[in-house]
Amino acid sequence: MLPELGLTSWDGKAGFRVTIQSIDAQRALVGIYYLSCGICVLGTSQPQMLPHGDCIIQAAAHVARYGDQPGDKHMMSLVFVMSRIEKVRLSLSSKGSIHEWPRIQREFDELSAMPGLPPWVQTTLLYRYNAFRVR
Amino acid sequence: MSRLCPFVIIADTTTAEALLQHHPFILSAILVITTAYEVPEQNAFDAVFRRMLAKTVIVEGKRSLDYLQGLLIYLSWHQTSFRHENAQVFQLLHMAIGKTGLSIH
Repeated sequence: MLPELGLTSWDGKAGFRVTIQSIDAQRALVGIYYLSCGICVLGTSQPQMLPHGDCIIQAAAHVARYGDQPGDKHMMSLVFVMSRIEKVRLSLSSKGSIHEWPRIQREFDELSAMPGLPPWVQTTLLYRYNAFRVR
Repeated sequence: MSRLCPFVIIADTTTAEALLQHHPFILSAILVITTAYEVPEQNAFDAVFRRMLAKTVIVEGKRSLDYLQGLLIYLSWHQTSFRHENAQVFQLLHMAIGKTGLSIH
């Protein structure tokens, strides 16, 4: 797909790269990833539409470094948490997932112990942890 | 608002007039999500939002960050305007991802 807004561009073997340095555009890119995870993985258990990738990490890192808004410094943690949740969700839907439980539990514990997580992310984690445990 | 949706920053000093002039799509999305308790008004704003989206993005093929940010706001609060007869969360999300230029697997 051709870049319509020019937020990203295809760079051969290097994959997608963020091309625009505007903070607003990169915030929007992270926001789309967050929504995609939120709606597909957390909300409806559908396949993830926008998988985690270098492009998302680049955008989050840029916003965290140069952004001046209160939420900007949490962008990397947010992307990290959502990617882990995405990973856990994928492992649950694969064969033999019951054996994955100790590793999943460990990942959730690691995530909860991350410093500087906003309270709403911690609540989301706790909620998903309990939901996965019930399954 | 930026506390709850840190992906679209609108300065506290921004007026509705300025939004209408420079970011009409963002204003339209805000009007839809903030009229959750006035159903007839919300339906009317929702129809305007969707018509605007279809006309500018699909028919005219315009490209602007305003549309992406408007979609982000609309989708972040989609539960406030959810109707079974016009539920298009996944289509709109696809559209938003398409606008970033990333491939969809």
